[in-house]
Amino acid sequence: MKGLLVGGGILLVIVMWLVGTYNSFVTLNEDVSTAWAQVENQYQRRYDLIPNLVSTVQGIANQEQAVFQGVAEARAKVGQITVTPEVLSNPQLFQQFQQAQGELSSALSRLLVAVEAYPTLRSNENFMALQTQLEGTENRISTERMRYNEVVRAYNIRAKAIPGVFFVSIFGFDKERQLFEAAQGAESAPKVEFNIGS
Amino acid sequence: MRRIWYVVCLVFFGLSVWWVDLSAAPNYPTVTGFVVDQAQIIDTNTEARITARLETLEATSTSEIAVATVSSLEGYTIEEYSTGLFSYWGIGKAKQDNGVLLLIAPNEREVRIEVGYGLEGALTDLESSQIIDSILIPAFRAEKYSAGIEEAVNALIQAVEGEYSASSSTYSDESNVVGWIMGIIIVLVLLFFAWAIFSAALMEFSRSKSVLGGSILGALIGSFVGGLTGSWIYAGIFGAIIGGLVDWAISHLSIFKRFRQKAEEEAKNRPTGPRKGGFGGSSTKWGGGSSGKSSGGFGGFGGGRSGGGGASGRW
Repeated sequence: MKGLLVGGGILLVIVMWLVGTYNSFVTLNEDVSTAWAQVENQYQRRYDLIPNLVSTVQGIANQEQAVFQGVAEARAKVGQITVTPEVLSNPQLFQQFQQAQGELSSALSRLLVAVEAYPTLRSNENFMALQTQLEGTENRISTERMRYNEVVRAYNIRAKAIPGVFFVSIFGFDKERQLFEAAQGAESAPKVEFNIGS
Repeated sequence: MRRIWYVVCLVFFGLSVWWVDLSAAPNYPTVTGFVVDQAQIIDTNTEARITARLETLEATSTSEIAVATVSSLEGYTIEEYSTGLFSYWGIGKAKQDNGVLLLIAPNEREVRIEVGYGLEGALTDLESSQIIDSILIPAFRAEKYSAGIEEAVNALIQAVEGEYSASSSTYSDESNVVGWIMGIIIVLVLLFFAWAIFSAALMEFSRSKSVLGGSILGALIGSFVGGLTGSWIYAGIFGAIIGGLVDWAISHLSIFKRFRQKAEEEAKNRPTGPRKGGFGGSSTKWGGGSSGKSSGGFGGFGGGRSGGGGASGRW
């Protein structure tokens, strides 16, 4: 009787532990996907905002053709990348995605710096609105990227630490999710300096 | 042999919980109300007026606006700090995310309006930046902090008012009640079964000198209860320790002598099925000591989140 009880107890504990760990991996996985969806969401917002921004600026600052071209090219490149879930576990694809978004960021900030030379533009109401929206978007992107990194960090720790590392290979979860890192040359990227400090 | 298993189990559990969360965060001020004036720039009368208005807003529309002045951003940018403080305080209701944070750092001369997800439509980045540029910055340049903040709060209330109404949230409360009743019934049924198993097991354990059985049962109960709150590993370990102690106590201590004798008797003329045990009524609570939410002094905010919406400015 006692042996049965103890054996059954041990078995139950092990089964529950397996189920619990499996479920926690499912949860973590979904957390990462959700956080990623938020990041993409904000990138999309920026992507959609650009045509309006460009058309507003173009009317007044027509001389800056090179800058406009840079923005258009970077935007086109971003549009070409289709983001599939594999991106998150494939370092190469992830880097490609990041690079394209990074180029768009720097093209945009070049545009905004160039625009500084046009006082009429800076007081244009429409432009101011777009400017604020763009700032908000950039800040949202960085917030969601930070949150994404937090959940990925939790996932990676779980997937690389001792019981998790077996789980990952047994049940076929991703061994590692990709973290966002600062884009190359980000430390020298021109700052957007209208009313957003620091 | 049994001892080896014991050690293996312990090591396994130990490893699975063995990491420390090292994420660094700024020293956020404690929430004491809708207005937290750490930097001491708002005069008392204004603070009381603003607080009263924000309480009314919360009561009528459930939206929560928090005003915080901090003496230092501790080297973080105002955007990082405000997003962090927003989620630390949980401004806005959890499902609606209808919170707004007005953060002022007078020593860095920076200000930010951080808008929760649910209010990004009612209070756009553009409106936030207009409030900052046309109300706050001129006032702060003239060092009229109290007046500027009060005017800005009024503008924020105007923007936010009407977006949510108090009646819409009572609906979700009702569905919560149903959920609670269901939950309680399920727990009662589980408790009934747990009780049957538990009393039989206690009888069994009291007859043996080993503490293994009690530890395992404790771990089971602990993980079950902990599973409801999410931290079932800790609760399981905790339960195992308590269970082991109980097992040891009922097997060894003299105050349980009568209980042991009864168990021996019943074991001799053993019928099948659960029997009544004379002990252990409070046992199911033990594993559950793992969770518990603390709330702020004024009841706290509702647990809303923000996603970096809003605008910043400096003067």
